[in-house]
Amino acid sequence: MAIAFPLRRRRRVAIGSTKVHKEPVGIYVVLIPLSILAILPIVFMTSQALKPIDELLKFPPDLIVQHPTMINFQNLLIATSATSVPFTRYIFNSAWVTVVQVIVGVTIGSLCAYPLAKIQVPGAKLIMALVIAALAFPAQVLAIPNYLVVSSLHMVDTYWALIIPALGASFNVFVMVQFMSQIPTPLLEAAKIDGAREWTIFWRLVIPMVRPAIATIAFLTFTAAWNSAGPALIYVRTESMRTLPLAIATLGVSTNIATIGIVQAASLLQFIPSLIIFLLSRAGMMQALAHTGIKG
Amino acid sequence: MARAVVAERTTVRRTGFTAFWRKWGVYYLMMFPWLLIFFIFTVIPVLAAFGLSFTYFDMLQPPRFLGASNYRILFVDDSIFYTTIRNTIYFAFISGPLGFFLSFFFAWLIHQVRGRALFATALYAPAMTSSIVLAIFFKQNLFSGDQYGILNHFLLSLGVVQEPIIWLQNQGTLMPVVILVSLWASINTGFLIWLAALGSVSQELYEAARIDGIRNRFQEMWYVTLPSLKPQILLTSVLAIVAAFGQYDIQQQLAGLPSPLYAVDTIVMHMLDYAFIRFEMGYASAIAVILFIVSFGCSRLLFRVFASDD
Repeated sequence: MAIAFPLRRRRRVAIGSTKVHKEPVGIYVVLIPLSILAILPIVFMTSQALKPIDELLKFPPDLIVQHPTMINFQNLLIATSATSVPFTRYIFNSAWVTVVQVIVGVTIGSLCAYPLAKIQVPGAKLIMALVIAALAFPAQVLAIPNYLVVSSLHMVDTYWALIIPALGASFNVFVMVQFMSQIPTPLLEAAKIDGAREWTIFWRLVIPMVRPAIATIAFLTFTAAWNSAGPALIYVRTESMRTLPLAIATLGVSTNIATIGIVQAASLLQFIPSLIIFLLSRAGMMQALAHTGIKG
Repeated sequence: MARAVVAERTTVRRTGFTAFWRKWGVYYLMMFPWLLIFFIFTVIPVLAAFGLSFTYFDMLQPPRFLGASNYRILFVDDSIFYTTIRNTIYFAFISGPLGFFLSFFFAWLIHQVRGRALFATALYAPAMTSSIVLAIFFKQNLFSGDQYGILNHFLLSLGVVQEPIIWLQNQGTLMPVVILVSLWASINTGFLIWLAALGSVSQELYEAARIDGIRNRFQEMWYVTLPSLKPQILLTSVLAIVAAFGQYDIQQQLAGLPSPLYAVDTIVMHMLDYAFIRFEMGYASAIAVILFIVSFGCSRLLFRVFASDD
């Protein structure tokens, strides 16, 4: 909070002074259609998910549903359970993997960032160089060696395979280190003189001050874990271990009109949690990401 | 005897180490869990991929050293590799810069108006969902290959085309469709970084610039905003190009694996094919190494171009 406040105040000043320009009508003219274009897939997806079968068959389709129904959700969540793996199982798999990743990822990421940002630990510079280097190539490069490690630890087809490799995401530590560097060092030194131990300083002093950065890396970890099918594609063998995006991908292969409503219902279930988490963490992200960059 | 010598040595060494540990130990303990995972799943794998790329390895028998043979096959005999590398570079060099530019441009527009939260949420919404969800949506609705595809319906009724275009089978249309769908997904973390960073530019800079004769928004953006946000330019451009090099899920969902005549297959798809379908881990590692070199090389280039002066 202590660092958050001045940033926010600076932004307020910025709003006031843009009024020196003319009223930005032209910008609204560009921005409003673009925003509509961006959310059009989401709006249409929502509409399709709520359509009864006769409306799904209608062509050209209506953008907005006329007689909304929950039938697609019922078919998705109830009807499929009789035949094979219940769809709720995929939702549970994704939810479990995501929750563990967010909690453990944020904890170990923040723990690692503190000494890197505020203490001149021997080796800190080298580690930061490696963290930044890891941003410069796609994670797919690591797929094969990661698979060999996971496989030799007998973790293939377990939740661990979907959780542990992803915990080393370098962007989280990168964001956290940059935000923590802004904590005034005298504050930490004062606490140390008062006799506070390192762990106390970290949990009681540092963590409350870096809440915006925590919101940020929690959100980024959430979207990565909740949305990507990549790890499940590689590590999952049995159908009951599939995650939600992978299950949607399997459903989406069919272009049968009857399944379209079901696929869109599943897609909506996938989207809504992300939207909620985004709305909750947006303000924090705007503070934490303001000073995120690479000097090179 | 020998034991006594060893014990003596360790005590001598321990005094230095004890002092070191007393000073730094607690910090290394804090860093340990994340660093362990980072080294096992990121740092060592880069080196391991290089090592494996010189072997034949099918996971049944231990790796057999082959020398540069994998690379020779890759560059001399594997014509699909050339197709995938061309596709990857073509895709990355269009969608990377476009994603970077649009992320900045949208954030810059939003920064100047009221209702930022609303606009930001709307523009970022596609990135909140899985790119698989996005791809399926476009596949089933806009780009359906029959007359019931929305785009085909539109073109047919306008008389632009006489019969429906099979967007996702046609070599000529696949890549543009993939690039277009990727644009929705490309307003991602980079966009959030810009949105946050634009609010942090010191107001004195703008005032000083106005005194110096800056007249309009574009001049302000070009001469004041961008130069003071070089670290963000570097970071978001690297993120955009790296994401473009690694992307394969939209391609796979729209066109299948392999795509018709390998029209949109990327290096990553070629690698996954050899690694997890044929289990030729050595050869697939060689492909991974090429992907690493190309993407890391592009990133280093951006580091050169956009490095801050100080």
